[in-house]
Amino acid sequence: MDKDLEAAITGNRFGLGAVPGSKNGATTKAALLAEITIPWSPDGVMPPTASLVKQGRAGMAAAKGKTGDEKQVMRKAQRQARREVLVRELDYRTKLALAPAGSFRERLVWFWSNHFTVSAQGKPLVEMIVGAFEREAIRANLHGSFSDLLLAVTRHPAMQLYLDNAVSVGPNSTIGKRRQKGLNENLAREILELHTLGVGSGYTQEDVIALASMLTGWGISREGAFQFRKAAHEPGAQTLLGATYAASDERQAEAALQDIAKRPETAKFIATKLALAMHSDDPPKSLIDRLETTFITSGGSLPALHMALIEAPEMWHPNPVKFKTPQEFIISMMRMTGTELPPRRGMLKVLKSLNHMPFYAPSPAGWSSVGKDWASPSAIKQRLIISTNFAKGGARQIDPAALAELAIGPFLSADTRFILNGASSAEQGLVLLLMCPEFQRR
Amino acid sequence: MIISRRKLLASMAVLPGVMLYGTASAMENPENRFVFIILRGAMDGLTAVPPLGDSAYQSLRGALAVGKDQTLRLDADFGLHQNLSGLHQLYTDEQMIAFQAISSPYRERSHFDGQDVLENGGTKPLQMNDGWLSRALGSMPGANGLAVGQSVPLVLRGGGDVTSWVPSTPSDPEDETIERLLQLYQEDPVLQEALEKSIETDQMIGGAARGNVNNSAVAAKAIGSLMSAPEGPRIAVMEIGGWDTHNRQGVIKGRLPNKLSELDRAITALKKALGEVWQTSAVLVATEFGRTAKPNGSLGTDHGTGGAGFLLGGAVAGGRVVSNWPGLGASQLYQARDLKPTMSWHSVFKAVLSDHLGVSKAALDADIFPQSSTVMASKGLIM
Repeated sequence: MDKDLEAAITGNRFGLGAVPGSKNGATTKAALLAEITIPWSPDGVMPPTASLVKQGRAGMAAAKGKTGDEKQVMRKAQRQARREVLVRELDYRTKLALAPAGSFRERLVWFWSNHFTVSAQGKPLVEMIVGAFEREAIRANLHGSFSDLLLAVTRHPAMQLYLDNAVSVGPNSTIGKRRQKGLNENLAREILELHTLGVGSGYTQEDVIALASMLTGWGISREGAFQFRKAAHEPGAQTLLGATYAASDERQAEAALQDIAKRPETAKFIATKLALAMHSDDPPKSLIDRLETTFITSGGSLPALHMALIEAPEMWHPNPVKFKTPQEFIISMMRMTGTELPPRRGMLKVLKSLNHMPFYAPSPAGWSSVGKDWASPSAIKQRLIISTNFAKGGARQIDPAALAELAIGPFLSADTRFILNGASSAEQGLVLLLMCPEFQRR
Repeated sequence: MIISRRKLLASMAVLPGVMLYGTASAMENPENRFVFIILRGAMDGLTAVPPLGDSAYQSLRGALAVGKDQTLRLDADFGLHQNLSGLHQLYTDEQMIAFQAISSPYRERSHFDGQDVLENGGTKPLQMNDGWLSRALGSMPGANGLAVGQSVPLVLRGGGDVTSWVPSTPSDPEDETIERLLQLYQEDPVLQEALEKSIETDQMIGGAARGNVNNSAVAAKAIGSLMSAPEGPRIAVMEIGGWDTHNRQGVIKGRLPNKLSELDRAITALKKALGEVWQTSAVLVATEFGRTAKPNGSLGTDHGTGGAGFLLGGAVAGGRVVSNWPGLGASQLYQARDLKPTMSWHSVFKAVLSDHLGVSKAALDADIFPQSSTVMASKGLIM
């Protein structure tokens, strides 16, 4: 393959956007393969879940029993504290996405984080720890098996709170009988529907109830860690998809999750979703089959799955097809131009206006991976407004036509080249470059 | 009337062919407008339209039961949550119908599938890749559709002349840049169409509406001002999310009551912005399914089946509750947990499309709601 084309595909289709002039960014298939073998090690920059839960709960406890103005002041302080955590998380995530090296790994983090969506919408304590969830449950587990990832995600306090499992109680458990409390099916349903087997793959309402029963007792401790409470756990064996699980403690749901993770329906569901997110809105069956087979033969090994994606010939076609999501568009814009949006509030405002605020997915299904869903008239208008604002502030030293060659040269059509070269100002040229099909797609 | 209108209508469900009101007016009026509001996440219908006349209600709902003094009266059997005072005024003005125990054909409990069925117009999730309103629009020559927000929801996706809109900012790009961009998009039909439509809509609204599109009242106001323009869209869709109240949903204060207030404000803003066009408008408020009849273990409700909804507008023959009430007794619940659906949203959709927008029965039964000739359009919903 032509070296320039290989670099353009590596940087833009796999990575989060080429960084012209950097020696550290991946430009070859070999570099991509090397990149995904490096495990993520916590850098200690951001606080762990436990301390954030402690902070959040302390705020809530302080407000308890207060009334009137005092209560309002307390509440406002809590809201501000949560906002501050969120802004720091967003800055941190942006910094990682802008680093020239390792951006395919970052794309994979985005993919899996979206697959196992925890959204800060609606629940204050979740808002505090949704960023920590991505680090602790997603980033730290992309080098093992899908099964390990599923377990880590399901155990994490953020998921336990977000999908209401922490308050689910077995009706026949000690606590259930004493306090007249009952099952909450939310997490169990989404695990089957969104995280593993996929909707319509043949499981029943009885399966949902069985998994929900097995998950009772899973929850969060006072210190903000995962905790199994036997007193809330529904006693007795459960049958899920024809298999019986008899363990009387947390190993019951663990065994069930491990089995679900290995099922062929799960392999197919994951393979299809990955191909959709990485290739195009209409990925070739050969690519899906390839990923599905790898998932099954490797026992759900994530490095094997990611490697199969890199090695897949279907991924190396010369035309940018997949429409970038708003986050991909904004990050690739910053990577290409070397100009950052004002950190903190600037980034937050822009992503909000594009309806793609990290950590705030609209539902447990996460953001759409279908490019077309992001290409409505209003969305295109918003991208154009952002590009115009960005060019006003950042076009000073940029030669748009030259920059286009360096970042996406092999993707450019003759027409696009001609129009970029004929721009009436550097500012206009930059708007056109940011908005041209070859930059909007990858 | 000795027999209540509600009961009369319920009994008429088994007597097809009986007609209470005329249905021909819409055919002659191409100016009729229709707004579809989707409440995503499944609104708890037993809080919005509490069945106060059902003796099982208070005990079944327990801490989540809405009291008589916390509701506005609809009729002897049903109340309306006190936060829906704007809707109640419309009810009093005979411009609002409340539906209770209604559902789409979907009988599982996934939001995403439930919304898919509500919007695709079939009986199964993913049955079709386009929406029933989009297909209806395709059968209405010259009519166009509008979605307010960053994306077009499934119900309006497919063929048809559809655009979406977000409010403007002070820094719109120069005309020359837009012209060149259109040149760049000549080989990219998806981006080309999106940009062209965005330009058209901006020209239509003339930069009047500014604000945050995530604010339902702002979105409703934008729809109202676009629709009331002479060449404005005849069909519009907006969405209000956040109804999935699994946890501490609240009765008078809290998440659910807040959502009800938000809905009420949006309807009020829509009516105001539509101005005189309100008289020829119908607004339908629907959600993917109801919630469990009994509260769950965490003072919330889980995904259920039968739910509630509203039809409002100057074109609506309102002032009544339309429901074939199944009851909340243990043996009356669906799968011993949910309110049993006794009416299909498809009957209401068909009624609005035929009686209000003049869509032919043939198109309704064959294309818009495939193989649905056995599902009758509800009679008399539209003036």
